[in-house]
Amino acid sequence: MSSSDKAPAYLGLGSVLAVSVCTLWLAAVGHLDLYINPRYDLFTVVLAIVAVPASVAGLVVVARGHGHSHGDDEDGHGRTHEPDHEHGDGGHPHESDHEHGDSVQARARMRAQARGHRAPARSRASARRATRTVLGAAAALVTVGITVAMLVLPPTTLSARTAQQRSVDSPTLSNASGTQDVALLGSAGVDTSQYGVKDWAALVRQTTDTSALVGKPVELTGFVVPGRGDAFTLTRFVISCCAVDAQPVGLGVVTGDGSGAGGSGSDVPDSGQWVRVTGKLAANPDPSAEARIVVRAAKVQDIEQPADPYEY
Amino acid sequence: MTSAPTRPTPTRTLTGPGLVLLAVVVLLGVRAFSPSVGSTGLPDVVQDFLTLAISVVVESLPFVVLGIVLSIVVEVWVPVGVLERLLPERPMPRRAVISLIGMLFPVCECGNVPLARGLMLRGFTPAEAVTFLVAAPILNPLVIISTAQAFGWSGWILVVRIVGGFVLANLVGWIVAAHRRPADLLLPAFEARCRAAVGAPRSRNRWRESAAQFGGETATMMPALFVGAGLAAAIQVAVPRSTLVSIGANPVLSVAAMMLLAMTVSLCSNVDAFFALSFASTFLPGSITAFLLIGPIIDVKMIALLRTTFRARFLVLLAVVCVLFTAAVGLVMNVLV
Repeated sequence: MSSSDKAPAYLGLGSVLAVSVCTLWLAAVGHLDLYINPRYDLFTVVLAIVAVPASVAGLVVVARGHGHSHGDDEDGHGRTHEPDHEHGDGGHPHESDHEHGDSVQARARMRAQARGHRAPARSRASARRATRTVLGAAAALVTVGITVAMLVLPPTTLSARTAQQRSVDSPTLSNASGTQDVALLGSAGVDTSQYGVKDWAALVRQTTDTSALVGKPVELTGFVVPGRGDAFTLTRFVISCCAVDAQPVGLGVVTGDGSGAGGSGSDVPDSGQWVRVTGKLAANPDPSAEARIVVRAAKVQDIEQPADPYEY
Repeated sequence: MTSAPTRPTPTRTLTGPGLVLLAVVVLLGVRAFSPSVGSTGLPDVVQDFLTLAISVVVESLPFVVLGIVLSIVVEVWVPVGVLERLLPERPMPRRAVISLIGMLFPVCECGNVPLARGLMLRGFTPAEAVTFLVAAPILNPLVIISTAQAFGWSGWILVVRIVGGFVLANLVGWIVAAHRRPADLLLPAFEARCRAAVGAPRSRNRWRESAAQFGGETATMMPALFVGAGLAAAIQVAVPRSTLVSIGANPVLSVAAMMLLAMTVSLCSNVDAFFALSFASTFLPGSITAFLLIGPIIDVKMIALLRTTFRARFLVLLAVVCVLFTAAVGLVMNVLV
C-alpha cells in the first residue's frame, strides 16, 4: 500500500484529532462559548474526549496498513477494500494507479457498457476521475485551511459588519427566554436592573403603550453599530446553538442633545467598539423610526470586550 | 503527496501518524504563545467567515463522531442477524419500523449519514437506509425534547414535525424502493463496498477493525463536513439575512423564506427549534414547521455529507420530494391554523 492511499485517512483522522484537541483546549480556557451555546458544552467535550483516543488508534491502525484487510481474503478484493476509496465530492485525492480503485472503475465501466454507451464511457470515466481528483484536492485544502485557522488563530466574536448584515433593527427576535410581562413594568415592583440588551429590546418591541417604559433607568453593555448622526445601536448577539445562528438584537442609543440626525456625532464611538451605556429610556426623537423607545445616554464609556460577549 | 511505494518496515509505519501528531502539537504551540482571544488583524469578512465555519465544525463534530461510533457498533459489534430478526418481513412495515430506529440511536443530521452507511454495509437496502436517513434527525428523543422545550406540547408545530417527518421518510423510502435499480443511486465505489461487505467473514480482531473503520469513515466524512461548513459560512457572510426575514407575514412567501433560511444556515436538528423560536413572533406557524421539517434533511452541509455516499441524481430526487412535501405542509398549516 502506498503512502498516498493513506493520505485521506490521515487527513480525516488528523482533522478530527486537531478539532477535538482544540475543542478541549478552548473548553479548558473557557472560550468554547465563542463558538457554541454553553448548554452544549458538556456534550461537545465528552465526544471530543472520545474522539481523541479513537483517532489516535485509527492513525496507528491505518499506518500499519491493517486497514480493512483480512489475511484470509482470497480474491484480494472483498473487504481488503480500503474505506477511503469512495469517490464523493467531499472526497479525497484518488490515485488512479490503485488496484482496487481500478477494479471498481472497471466494474462501473462494464455496467455503463452493458447499458449501451460503449465509446464515450471510457473517456467520460477518465474525465470524471480527473474532476474527482480536483474536487478531492479542493476539499482537502478547505479541510486543512479551516483546521489550521482553528488551531492557530485566536477565537473572536462576530463583527459589527455581520450584525448590520443580519439587520439589528428588524423586529424578528421574540423574547425567547420569557421576559417579564410588560404590563407589570408599570407597577414599580419589578426589578429591571439585571435586564440586558436582549430583554429591553424584546420589551420595546412588544410594548404598545410605551409610556410605561419612558424614564426607566438602564445600564447596558454592548457593541456599537453606527446609526445616523449622534445615534447608534447598542448591540449584542444572541446565540441559540452556535455562532452561525447568532441573531443581533439592539437598542437605539441617542447621545448629545438628542436631536437625532442634526447632531455632530462627536460622541459616537467607533463601529464595533464595546461600550457601557448609562441613561434612561426615552421616546424616540426620530418619529419616522420603527422603534419608539431609545436610550438617552447620560454616559457612554468605552470598555474592553467582556469575557462572555454573547447573550443566550 | 507523492505515491512512492514504501515497504512497511516497523520504523516507517509510524512516521505518518507521527507527522500528523507533530503538526497538531506545533500548531497548538503557536497558539499557546499568541493571545488567547482578540482580533487577528484580518478583515472583518475573512474573520467572520472563519468564525462561522469553525463554529459549524465545532458544533457538528460531536454528532459526526457519535454517528461514526454508532455505525461501527452496528457494523462490527452487533452480531449478524440480530437487528434483522427484529424487523418485520414485509417492506412497508419494515421501513416504518426502521424510521423509528432514531428513537434508539439519537443521531441528528451529520450523525445519520455515517450510521446509514453502516446499515447499508450490513446489508440493508438503499430504500431502508434512506428511510432511516430522513427519519432519524426528526424522530429522535433529543430533537423531540428540544422542540417541545421550544414550542410546547400544545399547538401544532411539534405534532406536525413528528408526523410529517415520519410520513416524509416513508414516502422517500417508498419512492426509492420503487426505483428500477435503487443501487444506481449510490456512488459506484460505495455500492461495490456494500456488495463486498455483506456476507464477508467478520474480522477476528474487532478492536482493530473498529479503529480501521473509524479511520475510513473520518476520511470520507471530514472533508465533506469542512466543505459544508465552509459553504454555509460563505453564504452567511455573502447574503444579508435581512432580505430573508423581512417577508415573514406573507403566508406563501414566508414558507419559502424559512425553508431557504433552513437550507442555508445548516443547523443541527437537535437545536434548530430554539433558533426557529426566535422567529416565532413574526413568522406564521406553518413557516416555522416548514423550517423544522426541511432543515434536518436538506441543507448545504447535509448535501456535502450526502455526496460522500449518493449520486447527484438521488440528491435531486430527495431535494424535490422534500421541498414539495414541506412546502405543502407549511402552506396548509398557514391557511388552516
